[in-house]
Amino acid sequence: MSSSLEKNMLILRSSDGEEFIVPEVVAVMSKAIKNMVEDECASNTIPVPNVDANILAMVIEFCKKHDESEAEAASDLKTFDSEFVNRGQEALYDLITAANFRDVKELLDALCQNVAEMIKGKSVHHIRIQFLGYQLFEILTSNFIWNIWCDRDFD
Amino acid sequence: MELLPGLPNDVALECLIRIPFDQFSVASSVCRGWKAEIERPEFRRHRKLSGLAQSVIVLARARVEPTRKTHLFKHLARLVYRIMLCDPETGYWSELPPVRVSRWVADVLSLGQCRVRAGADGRCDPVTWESRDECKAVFHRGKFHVISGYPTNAQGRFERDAEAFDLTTQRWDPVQEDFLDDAMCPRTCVDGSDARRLYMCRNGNVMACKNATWQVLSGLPAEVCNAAYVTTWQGKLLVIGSAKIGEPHRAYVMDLKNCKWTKLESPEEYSGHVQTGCCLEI
Repeated sequence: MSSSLEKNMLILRSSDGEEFIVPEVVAVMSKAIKNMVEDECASNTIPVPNVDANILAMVIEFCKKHDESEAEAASDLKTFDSEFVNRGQEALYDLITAANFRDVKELLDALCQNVAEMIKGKSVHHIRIQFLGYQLFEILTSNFIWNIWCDRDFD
Repeated sequence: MELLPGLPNDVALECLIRIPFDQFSVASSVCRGWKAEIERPEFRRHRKLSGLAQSVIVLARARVEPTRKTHLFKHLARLVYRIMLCDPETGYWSELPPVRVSRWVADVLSLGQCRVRAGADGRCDPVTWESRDECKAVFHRGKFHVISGYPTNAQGRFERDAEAFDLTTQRWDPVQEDFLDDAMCPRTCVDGSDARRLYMCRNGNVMACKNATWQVLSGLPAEVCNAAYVTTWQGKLLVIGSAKIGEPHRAYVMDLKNCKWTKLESPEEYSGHVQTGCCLEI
């Protein structure tokens, strides 16, 4: 397989076994992969554990766009970024986990910015439900029970 | 405790430092973890290091009641000062809840007095101290400059001199007699931090001082030619002033690199006189 592969191409294998052929310049936007390539401890196929095919495809799409558009206007890239990260919370968190684990700084920055945008302008109650929903028990048992009771603005 | 359940805390922190400063009070009320995190000094430091700190201009500004008819009347009726915030990047304005001592703070800051005068040997000699009413204190190039002002008995007759306290040698430098070209109120004199120059508004112009020489940098826009307040931050200069006494106060920002002016739009409520202010990085 590796012999038939063009030069400067790498294969990334997702946690569920799907393979993606990616130019090396794009793949090394992940610092973790860059380190592996530089240390030559990677063959042409690099396993990307903890990241499934769906998310990996998205990360590659983002890196490709950022690699290609170096000469493009910064505003175009910004529009792409804001559209790219505008996803549901679950996909967003999966992407953040992947970007953090694979150390893709540009993607992580754009994603974290999006989370901050989601928090912006929301009421305390709304933020608690949306972002701390899983910790409802903790909130209820803490002294915030009174806050929640007083703060019932379901906007 | 997890800051954002589902994400590692270091990533959650990366999200929290990206919240605009005006959302901090809401975010602090979300839970104890967020409150503790936002109140930590490291949080602000992290924000600054990541280039996310926002420059905010804090002003002690006269309140304007938009319901009153003529502007002059609005100003003279009852001068109430409030602390107001402005983010010059986004054009965000807000008024903080009244501080009980705000009027007093404004008075003290505007009538700032400095009792300094260097002795012959460069040390402060109490015998030769003279008061400088309405002087301007500017920290510039490692020295604390006290510019102009007048002795109390010379009511309003500003001096042209200035003196500087060197923080490294802990001594007062000799008085520079001709520091200002004109004997005038020095309230608009500010330090340009990165450009290593002093700036000041005079006769409808912005002047820059480098190596003790004042030069005209650019003309002031007509709407602010009577400058009340000037500050600088990150290569920009903000001037708040009016066309003439009694007119509403407008704000203009000049880019110090190309001397280009842009108007900073402000609602009617934010057109009162500015007593003093400062620039904060949050």
